[in-house]
Amino acid sequence: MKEFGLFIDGEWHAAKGGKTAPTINPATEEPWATVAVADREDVRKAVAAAKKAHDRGVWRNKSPQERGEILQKVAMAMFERQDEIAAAEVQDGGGTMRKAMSMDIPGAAQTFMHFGQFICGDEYKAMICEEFDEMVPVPSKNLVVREPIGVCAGITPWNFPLIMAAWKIAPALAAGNTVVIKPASVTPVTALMLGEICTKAGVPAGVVNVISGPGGTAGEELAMHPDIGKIAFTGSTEVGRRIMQLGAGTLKKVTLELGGKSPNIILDDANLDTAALGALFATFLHQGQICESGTRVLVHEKIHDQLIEKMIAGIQRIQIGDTMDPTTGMGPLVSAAQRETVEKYVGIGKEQGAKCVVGGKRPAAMNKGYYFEPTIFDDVDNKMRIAQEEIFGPVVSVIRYKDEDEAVRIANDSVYGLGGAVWSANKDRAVAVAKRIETGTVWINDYHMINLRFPFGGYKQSGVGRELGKWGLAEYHELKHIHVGEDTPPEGKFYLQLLLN
Amino acid sequence: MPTISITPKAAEVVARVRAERRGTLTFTIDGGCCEGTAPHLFEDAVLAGAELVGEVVGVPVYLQAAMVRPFAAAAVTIDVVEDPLSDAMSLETGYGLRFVLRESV
Repeated sequence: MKEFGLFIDGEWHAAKGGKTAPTINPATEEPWATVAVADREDVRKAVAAAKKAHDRGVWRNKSPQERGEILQKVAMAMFERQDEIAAAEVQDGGGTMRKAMSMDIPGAAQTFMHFGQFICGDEYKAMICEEFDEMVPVPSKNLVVREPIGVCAGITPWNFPLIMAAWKIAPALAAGNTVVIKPASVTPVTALMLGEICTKAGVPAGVVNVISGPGGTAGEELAMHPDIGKIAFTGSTEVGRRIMQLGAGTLKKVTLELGGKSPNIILDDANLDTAALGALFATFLHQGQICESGTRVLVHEKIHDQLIEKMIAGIQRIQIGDTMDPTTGMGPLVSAAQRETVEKYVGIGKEQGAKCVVGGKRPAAMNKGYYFEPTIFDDVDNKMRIAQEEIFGPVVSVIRYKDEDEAVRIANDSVYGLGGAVWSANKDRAVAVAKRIETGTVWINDYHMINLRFPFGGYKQSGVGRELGKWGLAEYHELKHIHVGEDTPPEGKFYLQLLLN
Repeated sequence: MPTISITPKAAEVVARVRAERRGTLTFTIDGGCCEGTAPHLFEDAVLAGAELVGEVVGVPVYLQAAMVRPFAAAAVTIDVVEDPLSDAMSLETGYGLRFVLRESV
């Protein structure tokens, strides 16, 4: 069995209290590694290492070019170790090898590559120092500069452990910060590996620290620690709210990417073959454990029957099974607890009158692992709990609408506002609908196509701030205005008359 | 208004937390993303926008806005399970435990 410690100040450490926890392979239900469990004291040690590295300037004093080149080396190092990282990601979280090799590894490595390249370019140079000549209220040259914040904490969820760690580490480092990352306790391994990879690729010790530990102690300590300037969290809405509240004590900058119940709107002129398969991709990729999954399919009543038929037919093409088999499309849910949650919601859906037309149970063929069949509920009313609460599993609700106004009304009748899509043959019409939807991302005739160059985040209770692109990078900077006035005798300073006779 | 109760085992955990924390405890029920809908036990939590829906063993229970409509007629019991890997910031996670909602469906 593999063993992982806490990665602090460029080295592996045991937890102060000696505590470890096994991490379970959801496909076999067997432990495959043990990981050190941090308590408050370990968190403080990691923050102190990050603070020391920031204060000494070992990272922030490097030029953006130097930092960018190291970040690109991190990306290359991830590709070099991709088999090992992919195997760990699959065993930790239950995703398929197919997803690990085509999404997790390239997605995470490209995050480092993207931010590494961006900060080497002219656009970043212009972004971190803008100049303005002014005559009012006094003649002055004005510099608006962006500087690193200091120690940034990142708390990440279990659905995309590697990519989420990359989304927190790469932009923070690009901007010159140091970080303490706390991955989800059920899937901590690849984030820990990434800490070591960063250091070996040339990121100085103490700049990237990764610790695994419970939310109620390690998470709380991070959210309250006075030496942390910013906290970026991806996870549940209630924990996000709590982080914001605990962070208020030291007025931390906070970005949150939280829950969703995203609408996937099929207009009456959509290509139904594509829309039906797209709707399956939107909800069943990674067993539906994705925050922006299109879990509410809103379909025009006149194409409803055809769409359902095509979705059911499409499900036959999804193979559930061994996560290491490259033909497997769906693996298990992350844990027994998560499968219980999904089963509970299937029960609630039936109880409230929705019609389960396919799935709704554990696959008979799998006698081990936390597997659950892709499940479609038809005749769902948006007021039902399965349409309002985030299930975070392979369950989709199909809701009919009569016209576009009703589709938009239903789409926006949610406290969440993270993702969504519109499927239509008429792009102008689809864009017009997209503009009326209260969510941070809307895809047209596609789904889950997150692009590192563009902002990702939520309206309403789906979050605060944005990740990715230059907008996400801006969240990792402090903004400073430097006013350069003229060196004149006192008579040149008209404002002195406001005070002096 | 939902009916909310607590199992004796969960009540014991609340008592354990209460003995170690000086602040005011509250339960909040909310969900989203990877945690699922669950009760969160917090100390001195500001709950603007949340709706007070009951009390268990002297701890007020709030629903966050998202949960008010779906839980209008629900009957739920707060129970506790072993979960050493929970990342919720609920106070019992420090003991390797996690409160869960049992719903009569």
